[in-house]
Amino acid sequence: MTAAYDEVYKCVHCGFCLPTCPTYLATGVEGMSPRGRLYLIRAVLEGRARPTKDLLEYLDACVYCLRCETACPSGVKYGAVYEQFFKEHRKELQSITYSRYLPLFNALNTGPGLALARVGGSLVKELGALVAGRDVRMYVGKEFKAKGERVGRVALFVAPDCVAWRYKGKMVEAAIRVLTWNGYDVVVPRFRCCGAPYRHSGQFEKSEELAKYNKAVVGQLGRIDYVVVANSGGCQAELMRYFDNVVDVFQLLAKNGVRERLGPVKLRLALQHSCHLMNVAKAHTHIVALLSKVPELKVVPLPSADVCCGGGALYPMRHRDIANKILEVKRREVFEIKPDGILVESPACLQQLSKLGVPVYTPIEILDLSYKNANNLKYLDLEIG
Amino acid sequence: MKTVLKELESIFGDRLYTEPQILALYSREASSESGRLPLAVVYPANPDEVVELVKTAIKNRLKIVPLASSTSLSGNTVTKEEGVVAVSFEKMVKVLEISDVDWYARVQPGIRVDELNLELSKYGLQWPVDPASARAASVGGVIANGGGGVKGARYGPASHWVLALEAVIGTGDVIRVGCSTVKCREGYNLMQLFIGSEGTLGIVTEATLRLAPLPQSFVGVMSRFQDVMPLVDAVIEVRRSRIWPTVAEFVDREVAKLVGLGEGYYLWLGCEVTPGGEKNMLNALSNVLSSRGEIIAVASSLGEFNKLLEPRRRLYSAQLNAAFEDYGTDAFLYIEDIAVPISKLGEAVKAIETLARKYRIKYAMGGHIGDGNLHPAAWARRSDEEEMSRVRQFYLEVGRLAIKLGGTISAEHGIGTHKKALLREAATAKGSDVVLKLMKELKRVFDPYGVFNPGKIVD
Repeated sequence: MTAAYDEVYKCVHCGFCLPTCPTYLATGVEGMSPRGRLYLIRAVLEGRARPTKDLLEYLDACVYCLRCETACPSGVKYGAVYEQFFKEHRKELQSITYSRYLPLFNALNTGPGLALARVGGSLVKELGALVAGRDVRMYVGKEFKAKGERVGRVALFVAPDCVAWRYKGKMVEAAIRVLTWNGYDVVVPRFRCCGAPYRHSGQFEKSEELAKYNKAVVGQLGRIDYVVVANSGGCQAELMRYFDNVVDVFQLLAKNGVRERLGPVKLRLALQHSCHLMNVAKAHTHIVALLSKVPELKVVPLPSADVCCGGGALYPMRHRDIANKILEVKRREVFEIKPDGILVESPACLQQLSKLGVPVYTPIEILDLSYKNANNLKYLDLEIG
Repeated sequence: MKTVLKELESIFGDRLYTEPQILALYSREASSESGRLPLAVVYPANPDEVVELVKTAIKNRLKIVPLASSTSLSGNTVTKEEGVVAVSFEKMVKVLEISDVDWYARVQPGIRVDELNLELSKYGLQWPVDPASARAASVGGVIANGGGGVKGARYGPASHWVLALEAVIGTGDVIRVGCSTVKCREGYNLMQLFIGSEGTLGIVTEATLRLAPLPQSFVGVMSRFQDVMPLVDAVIEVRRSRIWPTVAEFVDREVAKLVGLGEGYYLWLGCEVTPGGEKNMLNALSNVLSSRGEIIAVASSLGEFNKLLEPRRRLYSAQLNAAFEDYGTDAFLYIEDIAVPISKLGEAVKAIETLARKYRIKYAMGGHIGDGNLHPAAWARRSDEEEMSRVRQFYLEVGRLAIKLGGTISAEHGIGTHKKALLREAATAKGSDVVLKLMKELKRVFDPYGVFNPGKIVD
């Protein structure tokens, strides 16, 4: 019995986590709830149940948003229990739904795979939104000089071989401009995937290997104040496992105050939080607070902004029906709000919510646009040093 | 048994579950009480399916336990019997009708209280029965458990807020009791028998709820007291001053520490007021409180007050953490539920303190003090039988204390299995043992075949 499993016994069956769970909300079935999953795991641990396919189906259906942890009055660390169980029953769990998609994903999530996916994007409809955009490799390996008074030096996490990052050039450039304008030297080393997709699909060795590599990369950079992630809660949560000083761009700016001048951005955006940004990194409040300084920008949270959109961990492919149920709620809410676009805090959310046919933005893009609209002299200049 | 399952499958299709591990999920509740695995779990989608289920149960001598969110605290949903079908209303969650003129809502039993109130707030209405578990507890469960809550000080319990019910009784008949109007005098009030019947008389398939408008304006205060007696005096004085709070909640020194408040006992008082009357009401509250304690925060709106009330909402979480801190995962936490007349609150609090010392119990207390409802929560090491025994004895004594002070052994959480012995003692103390016999006869009137939730309330 490992320490993680002690958490199971902390559950007192109060049920507060049920209405927080996107899979329970979509199905109304006890087994599809955190309380139910914990109890199933406990039953296996105590020998009262066997980890049969029927049982594991409930665990596999979890989107791992960890919203239940935030709601639990007992403080049960659901994520730790789940992960430990996944390790011990990796093969069985993977065989539920992951096994059908992992080979494709693993092949895709490489440099060559991503290059190919761009051409064949239409064949992989689910990932279409992810493989559109400017290539990030033109920024990787460079260091960009701070403008004005220098405040610090940060490493910007960009993984050119990761499907979440390869075609996010626009976003990365925005992050670099914002950071340099606010006084940070920005190093963009060649990171590899944070490891989250591999860990979540049971490929724990792979995620450990990636962690090791990324730590080595940072080790060679000299003095770095922070590893900065630009609006990707999942990546940030993973990096936080093996780096001490991981922050989202907005957390960093909130720490020292944002520099002038912010220009108007005349958009009304519906906001969807990133599960991990909210439940693990606790960075989402900074984003909202900072964006509120942008003139003429209106940010309206979706009523279910803090409920997972079901876009992570290949979920829309592995559990299309549940993911669609979750998405349907989002669609209805977006329809009522009728925004100019949707503001998301994670690439996975971007991929899922793009299906709603409304433009999708990230906070860093909005902030970048604001600086540009203020006609700040030299804002657009990026000096490489 | 196979035949029975076939019959059930023909009724419920894929909403029938028989896997043992799933069945295990439906054999426990928030009280930590565990029971026997049910034979099956079914999810009805409409009343007709419930009727068929009951008829099948009668024919095959099955037992039926209805449940919703299983957050009960008195053993209301667990069963020790064999041949039980658990009926979950987690899929009957619709709001069928809301009348913003007649101030009622027709709902299915599975909907959660907070979800319902979120919908009602769009109409400026509320169902003001709000147990602290409202985010999880269902309307059907709250009705069947006769629950109360934070606003009970003014609005009273569920029994004041149900207009009509549709239920399937133990003969398989569907009955509709009550009216859509507040005034309703159509013979005996059968509807009220269902409220608090804990699933033993029949299965509620639809409820017509009486609604109240949301308050037009609201003020509140948060006060700290050095000792519990001044706090109790303040509550008594509020009543004596004819101030009628909507919310009156407190936590003791232990809980205050646990939730991160400073040293002392805390009282939250919130009152609905007519717009324009805020200052007067705040003055009245301040007058009562300032001489006994210290007012540390004032709220001029419901939103502000809800923020002030946050520490109180963390009562349960704090008690759990204290238990885990002491005993790790071997911790057992039990929350008692009694009510005494407000004039006896001081006496009750002192006596509980004495009992806890006598039985060497670790405990912390908070609750809906505005209607005399106390919830001492005690924790022990589950594997330590001696300590567990002391806790059980402590709670028996607390129940007797309630009887002695003219209160009730159960204010909100019901009888279930935990309180059956105390119920007998209470009836005897009132010289009214015959009441238990009458209850048994009533059960037989509605459930002649003993189909529903056996072993609860009275033997």
